Amino acid sequence: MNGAENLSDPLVRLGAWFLDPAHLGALLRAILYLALGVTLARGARFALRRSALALSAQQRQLLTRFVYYGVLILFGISAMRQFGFDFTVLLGAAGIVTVAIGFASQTSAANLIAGLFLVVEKAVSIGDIITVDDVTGEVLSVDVLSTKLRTFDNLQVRIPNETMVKARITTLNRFPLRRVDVKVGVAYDSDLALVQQTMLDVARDNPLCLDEPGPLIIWTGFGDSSIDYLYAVWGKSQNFLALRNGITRELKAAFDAAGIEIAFPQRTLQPGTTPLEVRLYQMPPGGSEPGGSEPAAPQVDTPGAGEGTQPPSGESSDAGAERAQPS
Amino acid sequence: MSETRERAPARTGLKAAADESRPELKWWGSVDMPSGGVVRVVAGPTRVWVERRSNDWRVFSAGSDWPDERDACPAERPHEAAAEELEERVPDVRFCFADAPTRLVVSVAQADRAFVVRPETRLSVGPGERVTLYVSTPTWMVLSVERVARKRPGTRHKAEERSEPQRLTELPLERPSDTWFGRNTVAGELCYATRTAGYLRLDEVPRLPHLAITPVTIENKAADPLEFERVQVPVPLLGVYADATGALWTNALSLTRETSGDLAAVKVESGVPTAARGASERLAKPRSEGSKSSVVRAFSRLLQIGANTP
Repeated sequence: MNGAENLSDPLVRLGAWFLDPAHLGALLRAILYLALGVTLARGARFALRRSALALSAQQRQLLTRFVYYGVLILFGISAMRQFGFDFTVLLGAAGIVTVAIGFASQTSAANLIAGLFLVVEKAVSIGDIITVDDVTGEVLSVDVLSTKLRTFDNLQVRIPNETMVKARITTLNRFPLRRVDVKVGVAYDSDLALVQQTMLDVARDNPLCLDEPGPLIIWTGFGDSSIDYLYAVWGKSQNFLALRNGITRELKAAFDAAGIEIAFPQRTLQPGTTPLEVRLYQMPPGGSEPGGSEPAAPQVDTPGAGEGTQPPSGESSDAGAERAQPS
Repeated sequence: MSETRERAPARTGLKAAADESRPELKWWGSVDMPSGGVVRVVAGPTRVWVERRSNDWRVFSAGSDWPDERDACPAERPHEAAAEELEERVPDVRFCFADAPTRLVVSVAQADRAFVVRPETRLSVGPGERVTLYVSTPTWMVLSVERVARKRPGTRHKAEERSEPQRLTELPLERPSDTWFGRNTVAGELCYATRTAGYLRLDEVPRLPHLAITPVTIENKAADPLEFERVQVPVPLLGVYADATGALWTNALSLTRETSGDLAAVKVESGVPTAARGASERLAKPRSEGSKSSVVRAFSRLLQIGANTP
């Protein structure tokens, strides 16, 4: 019973404090301040979201949050002062608190400051398509501590702002034009003038491929199996994927139509001094596998016609030499 | 089965008075269609079928069949087509209505971007010379529908009341290639590209149903030759006219190079171009009106002298 009285004692005293007519007025004023603060903060947020200010989505979001929470904090402090809270005491302890918080939240503070740098530098904006490290996606928001991306397979990736500041960011849609690079190798026996003209014709006939800047055709080297080119065409950034898919399909079709072979690695086996002997056996009707018994009518075909049949020898089996041969 | 019945041949016909003159290049016009009716329009390399159902309009298009035989490009105004022509086709798009309007209006429009016209051979205008270059650019086809209410015979007012045309779709009669007009790949303007033989005589200019001819008059008052590789023709700022043969024309452009060498005085000539004989009415107003200052800005970079985008 005594314990219950001790427990209820602070509550009773708090109730009595509020019921005191002098404190009741403070309570009502505090509630009024809070209600006014919430209303004003929401009103300011609503107005900023729909205002015609010439701000980017990211700047608008940042300003809205700053104003919203700023108004709430100011009115909250005013409400607390109605109960006699003295905030100068908190200011005195602020130094100690700052040191403590600083040690406890180094990472968060670094992310916070990095976020400010990101906003001030305008490194990324909401709606940008960026690649950070190996992640590519659309920027959903640049928040206080992190930047959120939506990848093309519809995953949300949260990247700490500190990482964003340190990482190499590639923005894919910052400029109106993009270049599609296609590496292509043609066979060594190709007519290179025809190859280049075919590439130009493909670019000219694709409406998504810009006429100016024109297509680039750059010889990049004599490869192991092909003569290599960099074929680069320009297009509108929004058409990048359509252009990349279309131009490769059309290039392949045009090469096929012109008799140009797109080279691929090939190996040609050449025998040494002695030609390899090849034997063809004709299966007798209803007969068994050749080799099990003496074939009935062996037909022999050798590289050197007229040389007759030669029994396989150990010499010819290791006479083949392997070397890369361009097609 | 019901779809087959709906595709019965339509009893249609053009209402336009211009029918009597039979301009051979004309492909625009309007036509009243019953439910199940099919019409075909042919304009240069583009063929379009439009079918009316009770609750929707269906648009079918075919690709370019005559890309290499431009001189043979035909023109057919909207006219009744056999339903069998659509048997194997799937509509590109359907436009749904509670009660589909009855009249199809096929009209002409300018392209939605400026054209960069590159002469096939480099052109040079000598000092003190004034030449007119005729360039041709593809136009767009606009399909609209409108409701028509017939009035009783004997009424003194017009025989029918028409609603405002409701635009269904538009399509380029020849899809031009994209190009960029600017000093570099960051700053500039996305345009369409086309090439011209640089016709200087009017009788040399081929008349094709899907191309609009723009007379560009260039006057070089400077002491040195004016050489240029490409000309930007801001067709969205130009109206479209048709001459007696049905060939399309736009407002003329004039460009003057002053003695100082600057390209200053550039303007759009108002009204029907003088070279378009027999043209009377404007078929399409400019796609974007633009203020006078914007016109000046657009034209101040109309002509680039030897400029190459890196």
